[in-house]
Amino acid sequence: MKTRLKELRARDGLNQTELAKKARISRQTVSLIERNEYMPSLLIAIRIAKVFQEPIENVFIFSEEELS
Amino acid sequence: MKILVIYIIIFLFALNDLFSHFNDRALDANLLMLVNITILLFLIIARFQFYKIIRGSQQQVEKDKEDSHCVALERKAYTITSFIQMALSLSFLGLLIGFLLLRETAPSVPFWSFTLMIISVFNFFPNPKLMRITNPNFQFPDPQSNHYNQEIMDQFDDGEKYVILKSLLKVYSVLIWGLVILASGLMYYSIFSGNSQLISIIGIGILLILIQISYTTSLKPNKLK
Repeated sequence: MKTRLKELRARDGLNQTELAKKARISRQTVSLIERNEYMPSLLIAIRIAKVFQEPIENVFIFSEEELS
Repeated sequence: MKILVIYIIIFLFALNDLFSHFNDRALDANLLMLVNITILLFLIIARFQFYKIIRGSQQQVEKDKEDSHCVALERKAYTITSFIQMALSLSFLGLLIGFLLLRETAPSVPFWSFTLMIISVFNFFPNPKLMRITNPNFQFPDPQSNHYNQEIMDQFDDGEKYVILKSLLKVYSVLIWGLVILASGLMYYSIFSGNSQLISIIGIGILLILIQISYTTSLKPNKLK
């Protein structure tokens, strides 16, 4: 899974702490997701996508292999 | 800054105690006193890092450096925890060994360890000031609550729980292997020295059984209703 978190944060001018606050998660979790060390739960993924006002599949990108 | 100054005064006092009684005390007493001084050093480092975090949190940083600044503060907070944990464990060991070997010849040495253990215990409680900086969303549950452990767990989100789980699994395997190696080492020690460590070996065995059973029991699925 790839994430566009860093790119979208830069677009909206948010640092990790600000994104974490908006998505009601910890900064550590944002950092883990960005480094691809943790796949977020559906709830967290939806909250993050909502912060960026993007569909979930535009924030978290799965390869065909992972989805089949 | 007051607490740091108090620790430095106690540190100098302990150094003075070590050097002024160096020739009167046996080697084991001097060694344990050195351990006590090391514990004090750990507490001083932890306190110093604490002030560095407080100062760092008040610093204004550029937008693109905010994340790395935040990570640096968090890393320092974990360094503090490590030093306090080392101080607590060493003072506890110092108290046990000191009481065993020095309670009659040099009682002040285990008393130093005891005092340092009390100080370490007070340092061990999470500092709300620190938590506000490193973990702003964390709210301490009521310590009197019947569901304290559950409420603490609920404070962590999924990502933090994942990190905790990974660390606990690592600790679990280190603990199991550590106990097995320790019990084997004690068996060889008992044979070669003639000094039986049977009680310790039995204690380790009971601990191994308890840890493994409680782990597998917690993994067991609940009965279907």
